[in-house]
Amino acid sequence: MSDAGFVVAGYVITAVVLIAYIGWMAARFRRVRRGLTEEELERWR
Amino acid sequence: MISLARPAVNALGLLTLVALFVLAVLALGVVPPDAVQGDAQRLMYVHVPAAWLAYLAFFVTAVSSALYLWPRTRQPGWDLLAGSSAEIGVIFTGLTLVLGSLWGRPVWGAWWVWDARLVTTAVLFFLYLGYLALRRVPADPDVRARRAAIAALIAFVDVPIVHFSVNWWRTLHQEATVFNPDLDAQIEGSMAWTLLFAVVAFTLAYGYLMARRVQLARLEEGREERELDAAIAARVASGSERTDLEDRVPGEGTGKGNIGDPAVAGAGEHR
Repeated sequence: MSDAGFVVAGYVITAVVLIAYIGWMAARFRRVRRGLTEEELERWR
Repeated sequence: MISLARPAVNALGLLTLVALFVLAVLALGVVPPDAVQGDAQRLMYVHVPAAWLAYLAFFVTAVSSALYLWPRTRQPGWDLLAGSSAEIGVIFTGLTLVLGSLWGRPVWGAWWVWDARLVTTAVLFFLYLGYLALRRVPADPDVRARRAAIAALIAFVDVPIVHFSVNWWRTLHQEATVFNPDLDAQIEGSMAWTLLFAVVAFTLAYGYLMARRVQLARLEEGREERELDAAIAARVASGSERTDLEDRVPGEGTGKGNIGDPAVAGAGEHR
């Protein structure tokens, strides 16, 4: 692999990790949200 | 404890996204390649800020843990902050190792070497992974938080070791470019500004991720408390049902009468 290939791989991995972490938090939030009361949802909003 | 309102968190997220996009354009298209390392050096603009973010995250974990252990400032919020920051720190330490490995392959000719900087960073990663595992061990919330806080303070000892490892031992890893012992930055021009911008962009990302993670942790904590209250109420109710049944006169209230039915409840009083 060329130098540019390693660089692109590094930037892509960084982006994927950040997106995956935010996505994982969003999925967990959706799970918790099911059990929230209206008042708690309002506080969240 | 400080918490951001949802619009502020969204604005921070948008700002982070723009900053990271600008960083990618600067690092991949504007800044010239390094005279010695060529294009491979462009990995510095994500590797160094990722390492900085790991230091910052673990520093926040250590301070929050100390504030939790200090009786005058003990609040569950500090424990929550410590846990959230450590999680982000572990992710960015892992990213630092992967990016360093990708940089090492074309420059050193090896994905991994048993170098002091690399090894101490790997140790840091596993120490905080252990810390996160420790947080999941079931226990009384206060005991769990205190145990985790002590572990966080012990693990933080490795952070300065990682940073100074390139000065204390002969290593293949280069010395710090900016924060070296002489504080003489070995970088200038557009490379220096881009690196500074990268550190700012990653710090914004940390702020955004922390805001989201702390919000989520608070919601999860609220749900756990509610589930615990419901479980205790159910236990208390089943206990009182058993008492009612034991108090009942034999033959009375059986068959049609329900538990909690005044007729059934009253049966015991007439005994």
